[in-house]
Amino acid sequence: MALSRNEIKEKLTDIMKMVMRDRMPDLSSLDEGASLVNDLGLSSVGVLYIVIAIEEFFGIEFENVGFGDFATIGDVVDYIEQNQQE
Amino acid sequence: MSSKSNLNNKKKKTKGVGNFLYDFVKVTGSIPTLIWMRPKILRFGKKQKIKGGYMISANHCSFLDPVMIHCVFWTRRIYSLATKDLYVTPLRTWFFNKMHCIQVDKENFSLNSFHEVTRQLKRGKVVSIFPEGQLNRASQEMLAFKSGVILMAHSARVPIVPVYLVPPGRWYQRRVAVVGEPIDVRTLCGDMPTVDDLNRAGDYVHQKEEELKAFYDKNSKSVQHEAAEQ
Repeated sequence: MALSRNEIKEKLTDIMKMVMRDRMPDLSSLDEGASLVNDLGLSSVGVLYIVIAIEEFFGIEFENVGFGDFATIGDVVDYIEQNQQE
Repeated sequence: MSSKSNLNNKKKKTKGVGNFLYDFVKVTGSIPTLIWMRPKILRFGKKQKIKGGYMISANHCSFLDPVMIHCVFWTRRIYSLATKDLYVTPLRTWFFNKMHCIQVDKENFSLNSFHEVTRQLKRGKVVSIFPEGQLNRASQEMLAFKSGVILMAHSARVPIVPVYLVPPGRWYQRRVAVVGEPIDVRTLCGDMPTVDDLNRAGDYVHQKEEELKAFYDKNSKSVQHEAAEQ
C-alpha cells in the first residue's frame, strides 16, 4: 500500500534522526520548503547518506537523479511519493 | 531456457572483449610507462593480500596518477572514476567504458555513479578514487578528503587501501608510491554511522595518508639514492 505524504514525512524524519543523531534539528518547525543544506545543515555526503537510507527504507532506487535535484525536503518527499512501490 | 543461456553466453562474450581491450591497453601502455616512470613501490606496514573487492584511496597530484595506480596494483583490473567532461564524443565514451571508467558529474553528483561504484565493489572488483576530488598540483599538502568515499566503501562492505603518490619532480624522475595497510571502514564507524562518523572516518583516512607521506619523507633520501644508482 502506498504511503501518504504525512507518513512519508514521518519516516523521513526517522531516517534523518538516524543519520544526523546528535545534530538533529527540530523537523516539526520546518516546512517542506526547508533547504536540506542551508536549513538542516546537511553536507553533500549527508544528502547522499539520506538518499541511500531512503532507498533501503522505502525499497526504491533513485535513478538518473543528482544531488542538485533535491534542494528541499519537499523535493525528496515528492520523489518518494512518485516512485514508491505500490 | 536455451534463449536465456544464449543471452548469458552473449553477455560473457561481450565482457570478455571488454576485458581483452582493457588488458591490451594496460599491457601495451605499461611498456613506455615502466621505461619512463619506473614506478617504485614502498610498503608501510605489513603487506596484505586482499581477496575480493577493495577501494584504493590516493592523493591526486598528477594527471598520470591513474596510470601509476594501475602499475602499483598490476595484478588487478581497476575501475576508475572519470569526470563527465571527458565523455565528449561517442568514441571517447566507448573507450572510457571499455577502460573500466565510471562516469562522474562533479557539478551534480549522480546516484547512478554511486550505485555503479558500490556494484563493482560488491562484485569483488577494485575501484580507485582520488578523495581530494580534484587535481592538486599547486600544493605539496593534501586537500581535505570527501567522505563520500567512506560511504561507498561502507555500503559495499569493503576495505580502503590508502596510497600516497609522491608528487612528480622533473619529467625524467621515477615515480614513487607508498602503499599502506587496508582500513576496515565498518570497524571505524560501525554499522549505522552518522554523518559525523563518516566525516571522522574520512579524516582518519586522510591522516593515514599523511603518515604514508611522513614515512616517505623519512625514507626519501635512501629512495632517491637508489633511484640515482639505477
